[in-house]
Amino acid sequence: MSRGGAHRAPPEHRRGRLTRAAVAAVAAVVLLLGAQGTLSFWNDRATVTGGQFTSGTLNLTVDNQEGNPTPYAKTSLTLTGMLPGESVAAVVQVRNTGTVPFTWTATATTSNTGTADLGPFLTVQMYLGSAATNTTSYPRTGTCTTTTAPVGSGSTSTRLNAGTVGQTGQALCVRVALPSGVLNEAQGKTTGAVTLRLDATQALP
Amino acid sequence: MSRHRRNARGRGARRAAFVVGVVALVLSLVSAAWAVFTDTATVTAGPTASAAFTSGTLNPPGTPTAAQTSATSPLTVTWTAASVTGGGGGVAPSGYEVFRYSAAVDGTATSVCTTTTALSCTTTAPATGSGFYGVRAKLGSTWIRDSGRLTWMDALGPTVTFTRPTAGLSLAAGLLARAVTTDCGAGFLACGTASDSSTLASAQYRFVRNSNQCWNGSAWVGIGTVACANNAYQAGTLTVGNPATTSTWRVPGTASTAYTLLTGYVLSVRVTDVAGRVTESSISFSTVL
Repeated sequence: MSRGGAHRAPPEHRRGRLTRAAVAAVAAVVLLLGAQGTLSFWNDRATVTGGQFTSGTLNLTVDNQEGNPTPYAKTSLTLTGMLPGESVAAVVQVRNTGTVPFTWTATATTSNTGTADLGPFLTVQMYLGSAATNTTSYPRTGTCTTTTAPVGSGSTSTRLNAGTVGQTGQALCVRVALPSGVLNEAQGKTTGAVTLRLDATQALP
Repeated sequence: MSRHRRNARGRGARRAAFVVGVVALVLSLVSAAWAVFTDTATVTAGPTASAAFTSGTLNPPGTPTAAQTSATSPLTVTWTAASVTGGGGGVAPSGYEVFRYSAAVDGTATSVCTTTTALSCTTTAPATGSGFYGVRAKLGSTWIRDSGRLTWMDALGPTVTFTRPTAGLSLAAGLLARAVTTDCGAGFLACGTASDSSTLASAQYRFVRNSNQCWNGSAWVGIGTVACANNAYQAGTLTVGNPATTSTWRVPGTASTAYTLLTGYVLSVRVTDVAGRVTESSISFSTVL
């Protein structure tokens, strides 16, 4: 176990090892240099231009009004001094002025702002593809002339294609009524609003 | 064994994490595929959105009045029309209903008559002699509006009639006594009826003979006695009929005792209803030979 050179390799062995290492180092340098010379090549690039990309549009209008962000006021849909059994009806024209087809739903809400509000007593009905008529003497009656296609508030999805069909649009008759059996408490209400929200969603192919 | 279990658990966890990762990847791809364009339009009704719809009002009819043409006649209730605001104008109530209430405020309501367009109706007066009347206007099947209430009091005294004797009768004393007993029953020397829209409360009499004697219920007594005091009435009997608004009054006594002389008689009867209205009625008759 002395620290002398009893286990050291003989000198001829050490020399052989050094020689091999030197040869390997030289070979590596040669290879690297040679490879660098081999990776040099010609190149070229071609750029293709033209072919623009644009997005389609989805746009729903009501009576040719955007209704967004400013609500569209349907001025003819109003009736003041309502008595039990009276109603009013009006048609709004839903159009697709964009480039993609969509389905749309209509959701009607009535106001409920307090004790002076008639909203909670009102009923709203909507019919697709219907005209509207109104009488002016008591009991003032609004009628949607066709009631075969009722539109449930927020439930029925209706497709409206773009193009000519979309420009022609779909008529939606809205009828607001104070039912004949409305409670006595419905008398003398000084406010009352109805809001119609139309939501369009792109129709997938 | 435990090492094997741990290894198995580790493999399961890795497998679950892998599955979750795959699902998340698929979901992200799917949601990206469903992205679509949307648009919204809002429509408000009317030129003034907050007051596009308002309701009309049924205004109350006038507080009614009530009148009777006689003590026994029905009650005629009259009122002024209710007006209707709204409906485009020119709308009239669809009808009226008159109620009798048990109190001036609240209380129990009893419907006594209905009309369509008429502004009065006839009903029975309350037997109690007073009542509270109100008119309810109606519009359609649900809207109503009540008038103020009238406090009505029976203003007329009862109607009194004489069955026996009758006014101007002149009859032999014996015959009169027998006739009275026949018509009024034993124990009475005069009788008649009283009626009113209200229930009758009491009957009294003052029976005077020869201008100086008064009947006290069992005998004639002289001036200066209680029975003959000025305007002194004695208690008669009142038999309440059915309905209670018609009754029979009687003067108690023995007819053969009362009618013995050839003389003149004045019989006054005073009947009061529950409203306190009084009717006094008198007849004269005489006995002859």
